[in-house]
Amino acid sequence: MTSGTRDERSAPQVEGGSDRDRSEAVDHTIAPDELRESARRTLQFGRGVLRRRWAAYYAAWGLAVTCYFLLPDLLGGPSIPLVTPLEGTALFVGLLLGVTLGALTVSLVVFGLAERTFALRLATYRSNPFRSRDRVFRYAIVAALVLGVVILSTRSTFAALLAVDATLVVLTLFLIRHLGRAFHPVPIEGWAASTSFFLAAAASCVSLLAFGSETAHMWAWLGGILVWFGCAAYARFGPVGNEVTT
Amino acid sequence: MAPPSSGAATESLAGLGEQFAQEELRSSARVLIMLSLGVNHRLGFTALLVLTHCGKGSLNYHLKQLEGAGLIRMSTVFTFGGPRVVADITEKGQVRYRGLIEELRRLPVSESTAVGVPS
Repeated sequence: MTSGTRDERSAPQVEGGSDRDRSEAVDHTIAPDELRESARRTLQFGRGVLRRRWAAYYAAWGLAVTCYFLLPDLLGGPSIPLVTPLEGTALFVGLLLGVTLGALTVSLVVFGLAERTFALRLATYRSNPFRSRDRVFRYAIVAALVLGVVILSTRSTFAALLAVDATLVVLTLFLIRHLGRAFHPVPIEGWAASTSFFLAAAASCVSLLAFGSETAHMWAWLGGILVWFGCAAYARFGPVGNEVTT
Repeated sequence: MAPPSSGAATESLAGLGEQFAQEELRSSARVLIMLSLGVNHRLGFTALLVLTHCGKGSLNYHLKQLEGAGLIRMSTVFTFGGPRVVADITEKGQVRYRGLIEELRRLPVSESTAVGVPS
């Protein structure tokens, strides 16, 4: 890796001078190796930008899951006496929709960035470590959705929670897939977030099946949420090395 | 992915020549800026300074060239940290970016790229 682009070493570093002077000193026909080198530098330096964007993703979903668990207690409990059942329901649905839409928007932005990074990496290195597993991911997600519909058809709160948790276990694969497409290698907070997400969903499933307890289900998620907020803070403020940040 | 044949390689190099014959991409710094903006859609001036290792004057010159060609759009946005100069890629810039990716994909595999992804 060179310390700078080829033209930068000969480029004028002054504010003065005509554009023509600069053009003659700077511009030249780009060689294929320079294009490859530019793509490599883009990938290397873009890693910092990506980590900052993923920080927003972890924080958005951490906040959303926190709201899913806390809002029913906050709005339905005696701590807010002014909220009537009707107002409480409207507020509850509105807030849940708000945080969910916010988290989905952040997800779309981050996944889009991951896909564009992946396309550039594939064009540069001709290597796709995830291609052979794409079909498995698709089958797993379809299986999770089918399982969710089957369980939901029993129409009980317990079954609904179980369906959501079972779906989330499989959706971890989706998260890992996008992390893998965005980064090579996946940073430590990416592994921590996906592992905690999987463990929280799996532990939640087990607690529901073994104990039938919704409280245990909530505690299982609490750890996951804390790890996600920790991952968000580390990705946002942690060291990024020789990478660009915005 | 199979390496391109020699015919495809020649075609690729011809395509590359066409891409870079235009004034706005006759500089590796501008190609670097275009690739980065193609991926990120928006980058701040400071980030571009770090990315390109250019001085402020040189970077301004490169950004003006790209803006003049309609490939990017410069603007000032207000953030909690104060006003920031940012560059956004335009529709025309995205078309050019896709062309660059296509050329990159069609380039013959060199020893350094055949090894695989970076460590």
